[in-house]
Amino acid sequence: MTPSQTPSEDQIPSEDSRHRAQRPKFIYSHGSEPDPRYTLANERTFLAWIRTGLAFIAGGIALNAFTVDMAGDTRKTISIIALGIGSIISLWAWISWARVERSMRERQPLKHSPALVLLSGTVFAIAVIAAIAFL
Amino acid sequence: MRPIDEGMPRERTLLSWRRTVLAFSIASFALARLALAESLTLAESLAATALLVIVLIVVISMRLYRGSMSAVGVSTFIVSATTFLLGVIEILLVLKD
Repeated sequence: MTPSQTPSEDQIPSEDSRHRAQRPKFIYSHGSEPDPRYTLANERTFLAWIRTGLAFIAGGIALNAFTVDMAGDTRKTISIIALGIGSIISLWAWISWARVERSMRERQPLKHSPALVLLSGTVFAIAVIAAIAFL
Repeated sequence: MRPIDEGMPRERTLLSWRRTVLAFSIASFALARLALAESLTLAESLAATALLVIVLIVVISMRLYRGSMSAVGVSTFIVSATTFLLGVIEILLVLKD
């Protein structure tokens, strides 16, 4: 964001942002209210992670529901891995949202998360296992 | 004249909530459909719970959009926890097969 795009005080809907969120206390009892646009961006990132988790869960459900020609228990294993990853992502989404929200309130740099690298690795591993099982 | 809501962050966030509700609906009703093979009561309970959560999320997201609610932390937790439970229930169903 360039300096010219930085919101001025009168552009920030301060009253409504103050009323927006009071719980959990371990986040909102620290620091001060950040620019609402950043909190909304954090909220959208959280929702994107949740959708990613839901996609994994839906994939696991689909794999379990449809008759797929795979060797042995591979289908069940991949399904459980996908469902497990989806569940973990959904919990991680909230933890990540809370960490970012608190960092923004305390005007601290955002902490690095290894989640994206782990997610990419998992997707790659599932794809490789599925490809081998199909052969 | 400058727009009141530069970049429409509120509207984009509301749409993001909508997409999440859609994804949640698909996943939860697919799970309910699968649970039908196990038990009708289980399937009905899952569908009813899913419907309740969906309505709750829609109402919460609308109120957050209007700025008339202060529960973003709680609502994100509800979504996170229900999605986690969805995954766990499905894992139990797969393991039971």
